[in-house]
Formats: sequence, C-alpha cells, structure tokens
Amino acid sequence: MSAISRGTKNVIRNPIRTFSVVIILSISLGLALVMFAALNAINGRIESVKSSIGNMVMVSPAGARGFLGGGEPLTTGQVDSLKSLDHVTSVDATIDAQLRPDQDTSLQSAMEAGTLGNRQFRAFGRMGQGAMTMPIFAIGTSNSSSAGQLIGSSVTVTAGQTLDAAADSDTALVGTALAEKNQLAAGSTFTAYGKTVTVTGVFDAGTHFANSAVVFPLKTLQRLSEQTDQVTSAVVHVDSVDDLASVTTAAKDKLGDAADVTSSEETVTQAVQPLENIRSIATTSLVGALIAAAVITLLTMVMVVRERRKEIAVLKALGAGDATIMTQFTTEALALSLLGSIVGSALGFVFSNPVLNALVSNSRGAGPGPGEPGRGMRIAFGSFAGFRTTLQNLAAVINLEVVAYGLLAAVIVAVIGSAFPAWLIGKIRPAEVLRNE
Amino acid sequence: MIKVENLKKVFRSGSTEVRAVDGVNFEVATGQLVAIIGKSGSGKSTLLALLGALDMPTEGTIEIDGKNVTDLRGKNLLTYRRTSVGFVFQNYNLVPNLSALDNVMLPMEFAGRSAAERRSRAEHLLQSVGISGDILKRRPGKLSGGEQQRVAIARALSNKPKLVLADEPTGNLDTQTGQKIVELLRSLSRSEKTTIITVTHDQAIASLADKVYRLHDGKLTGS
Ligand SMILES: Nc1ncnc2c1ncn2[C@@H]1O[C@H](COP(=O)(O)OP(=O)(O)OP(=O)(O)O)[C@@H](O)[C@H]1O
Ligand SMILES: [Mg+2]
Repeated sequence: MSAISRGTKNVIRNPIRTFSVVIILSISLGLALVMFAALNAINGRIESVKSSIGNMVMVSPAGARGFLGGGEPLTTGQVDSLKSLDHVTSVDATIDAQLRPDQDTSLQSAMEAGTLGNRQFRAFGRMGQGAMTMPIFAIGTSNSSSAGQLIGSSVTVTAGQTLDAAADSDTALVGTALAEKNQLAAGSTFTAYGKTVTVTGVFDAGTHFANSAVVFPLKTLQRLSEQTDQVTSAVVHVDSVDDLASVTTAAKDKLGDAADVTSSEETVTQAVQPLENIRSIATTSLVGALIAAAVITLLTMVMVVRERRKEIAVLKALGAGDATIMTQFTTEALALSLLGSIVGSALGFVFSNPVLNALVSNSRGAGPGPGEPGRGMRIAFGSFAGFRTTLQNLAAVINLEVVAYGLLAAVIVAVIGSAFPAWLIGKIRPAEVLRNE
Repeated sequence: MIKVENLKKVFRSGSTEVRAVDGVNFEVATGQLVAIIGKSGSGKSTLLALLGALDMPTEGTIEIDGKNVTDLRGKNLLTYRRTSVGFVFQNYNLVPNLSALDNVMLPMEFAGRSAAERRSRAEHLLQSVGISGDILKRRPGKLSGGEQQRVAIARALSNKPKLVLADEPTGNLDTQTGQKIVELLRSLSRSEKTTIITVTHDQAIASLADKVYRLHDGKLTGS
C-alpha cells in the first residue's frame, strides 16, 4: 500500500461527509463546466459574427458617398499609399460613372425611374432635360470579385468569365438584369463612350440595383469616362478584425481631410455587444465556480487534516517524510474533486443548454438589443442581416474535450485546495504523538 | 550502547520557560530493558521524544553505537526514525483506517522494503506477538486494547530497530493484560537484541527492568 492508495482509501473513510462534499463540489464544478461550454459557444459565435461582417475599412472622397454628395475624388496614388500600411492585405479601388442610354452607350437601363428615380432627377435639377430614363451605373474596379461599396462586397460571375481587373482593355462584366434587358451574353458587345466593349461574363451581386450595373476594369473606366487616376471609393482589407481600429486611424492620418474613412468595427462592436455581455457573466461565473470548488476542497481538507492531526504525527514518528504525507492527503483531495467533476459533468450535460438559454433571454431583456448598423455602414455594407440573429440558436456542447477540461479543473482545484492543508501538515510536530489527550 | 550526555530540552512559550529535560546523563547497554518512572510532568515523554529524534534537544548529545543522533537532519533523520527506533504508545496510535497487517507493514514501506518482504515479516512479527488468522485483516477499532498494543509492538519492531521506546505501554490495560505485554517486550528485547527504554508507572515493569531511573523536574536519578 502506498501513499496514493492510502489517500484514495481514505476517501471512503467517512462516507457521509464524502457524499456531501462530492455533491457540493459537483454543483460548483458542474456550473464551471456549463459556463465553460457557454463561453465556447459564445466565443465561436463572436468569431463568426466578426468574420461575417468582415475586416474592411471603407475609404470615400470626403463628403461623397457613391453618387451622392460632393467634393474631390481621390487619386490612384492616394489609394496605392494605403497598401503600405501595416496589417493591410489588399486595397480595392473603384471609380463610378453613369452611362446615359442613347448618349454614352448603346445599352438600355434595366431599372425603371419610378418615384425614387424621379425624385432624384428633381434633386439633381435634371427636370428639363427630357426623358426620365435611368442612367446605367458603371463601376471600374481593381478587383473583379469586389465591385466596391456601391454594389456590395461580393460579385459572382454566373456566365462567361471574370474580368482581368488589372488590365486596361475594352471589356466588361454586366449584371444579370442588364444582360437580360439588352440580351447580352459572354462575347456580346455594346458601345460605351464611343468604344466597342466586349462582355466577358454576366454577374450576380444579389440586388436588382447591382445587377443593373456594368463593371469595367478600373483603368478602362478611368480612361473611357475621362477620370484618369481618379478613384471614388476604396475598400481596404485588413488581416484581422482586431487591427481594424489601428488601420482606420492610420488611413485617416495618411489621407487627411481628403477622405472619409470608416470601418466595419463599429458594426462589429454593436453586433457583438450582447454576446460580450453574456461572455462576461459566464466568465465571472466560471471563475467564481472554480474558486468556490477550490474553497470547498480547501475547507474539507483543513477539516480532515485537523481531525487526523494525531495520525499525521504517528506517520511522522514512523519515519514518513512530509512529501509522502502531503501526497497522501493531496490524493484524497484529488479523488474528492475528480468524483465531483464526474458527477458535475453529468449535471453539466443536463443543464448546460437551459442555463445558456437563461443567460441569453436575461441578456435580451436587460442589455442593449442586437446591434443595428449605423447609417453609413448600411450604405457601405448593403443588407447585412447576420447580426440580427447574433443570439439565436446558441448551443452549449458538453463534449469529451469539455469533460477533459473539467477533470483538469478538478486537478487544479485539488492542488490549490491542498496547498494550505499541506502547509498545516508540515507544521505538525512528530513529538505530538506522545501527547495523550 | 546508548550514551546520553547533558541532555536538555527547554520549552519557551512567551516569557515562561519550562525545563522539561534538564541535564540528563545515562548509559544503557545493548539489549537491556530500562524503566523510567516519575510524576506527571516530570519530562518522561519529552525525554523519549528526544531519544527517538522526534524533537531536537536544546543542548546535549545522544549517541547510539557511537553515532550522534542530535546531529541528524533531513533524510538521515527520517532514516533514523524509520530504522533505528520503534515506538510503543500508551494509547497504541495505530492508523485507524488500516488493518493490523497494514499497520505493521507501514514503517517497512517508509523504509523502502519490497511488498513481499513487508508482508512476510509483518505476518511473522504478528504471529510472534500472538496475532494471527482473521485478526490480521481487522482494523484497530475492532481490536481489544491488548490486541492493539500487541500490533503496536509488532509495528515498533518491524524495521529491526536497535532501540524501542515505550511510553506507558501498559497504561491503558488491566494488570493481567499489562503483565503479558511487559513479558512480551522483555522476551522480544532478548530475541531481537533490542534495547528497550520504557516509561512506566507499572511496578511489574519496573521489577522486570535491568535498570530503573527516576525523573524529577527534568533531572534523572538512578536507582
Ligand atoms: N510542546 C511543549 N511546549 C511547552 N511545554 C511542553 C511541551 N511539551 C511538554 N511540555 C512541558 O514539559 C513538561 C514535561 O512534559 P512531559 O510530557 O515530558 O511530561 P511527562 O513526564 O511525560 O508527563 P505525563 O506522565 O503526564 O505524561 C511539562 O511541564 C509540560 O507541560
Ligand atoms: Mg508523558
């Protein structure tokens, strides 16, 4: 029989106490597990919210947004200077233009003017200029898979081939609606600014507005629309959400008053806020539950050591080293907390999702609701609905990994809970064995 | 051969000072049975604790076969407690959760003996103190006082110590049972060639002893 087997055997020495201690430990360790699983679920959700919102910084000429507003366009040089900033992976630059049917192009718009279109005509003082036909929005882009802020961040080519966005050739991608209206397909041609342009493919960007547009390589549209070196918007891609703020600041410093620089950070912060609230509750509870477990173990072991003071003195008188005796008692603490952890895992399995749901509904009631995007962001990101569902369908999973962490926590709890009792053991004088009480 | 010179133990608690052992000198030849008698509080248990290296003396030396016990520290101190001395107590002090057999095997475990060796020696020792059969598997709570003290004697002898220290070994036993325990100690000291120093109030022990010392206020007088 060794110190370890004696320690294990001592667990059942006082079955009623062991039972009570294990029950209390299992509640606190079970709570810790539940909170750990909840944190896992919440962290996963925070990551997915962050990545779905994206790591982008939007740059527009100061005072302008799309076709609205005024001011001076940015230059290619200014935009290129952003590429050298830290944490910037790439910069997509775009130029906007409006092709007037029958004047600038052979194409017909796929959009009806309607009430909104007419209002815009009035606002721009074009009332007297004849037909209220909608212009065709043209975007020149340096990245064929991202047509800038106006269209949205993702463009899928559904027929034909994508553009060589870096080239300066008379080619274009047309939106599905525009293609249908003008019976265009890959290989078709149309005229723009007096040049014959070949359609390389048809894209779908998800909205009727975007699908009524035409996308050129950046340099092509700059040349055709006589806006050489001008840029009306840029999207800066940042390597991680955490660097958004620093890149935004750096871009602002670089461009000064010439540009409005906004990031998706505010949106991320707002969307993640309710999750962060639950995360801090869960973290506090996790730490609190572990501390409670350690304190329970500590108090139990202090009680056990005091109770067996004489026995410890006997072991010392028989020549046991302090380390041997401490091993025996730590084993006993470990056996208690492992039992607690096993029962706690079972409790966690049953209660993790009810507790998480309670946390979620609590946070909905008390904290701020799911984040709403700011006005500017809504324009920049189009329709992003992901964060509306930030809190929905969160599920805590107690899997083997979580149980393994629970056992690890039990070990740590036992070691912490045994430290002070071990010190008490060290203080017991072997000569006490000769005292008769 | 045990040689004790000018041994002192002073307990200080605050401003008060207790000279529990106050300049003790004596010699015991190997294999002798020595009895120490004295009033309560005269320092008997303190003297045994010093001899067993359970406590450090304030002053003085204890030599066993020429080796100074009071210099021992750390691992050597543990080795001395494990192999050179065995203790028998008034209230037995068996480990409650362990069987009689396991109790006797315990000091041999601390001394690093193999499990098989521990077992056979423990069974042999228990046999020689009159414990056998299913009593071996019983815990101390299910043994009589006399049986517990027999187990304690077997445990004290397990590592073949040169010296057995007994503090009132018959104090909790009736006269008849105490008598048997004394005879057992006496015969084992002969067969195992072990020196025995025992504190006692018991005239029966004193009459069997080779030497009797009287302790009075920490000072030893021969008889
Ligand atoms: N750890 C200690 N701290 C302070 N004083 C102590 C300590 N241990 C013993 N003493 C004192 O030393 C003196 C001797 O005590 P000891 O236990 O050796 O007496 P004893 O002869 O064994 O008595 P008894 O026959 O009652 O067992 C007593 O006055 C006691 O109070
Ligand atoms: Mg005493």
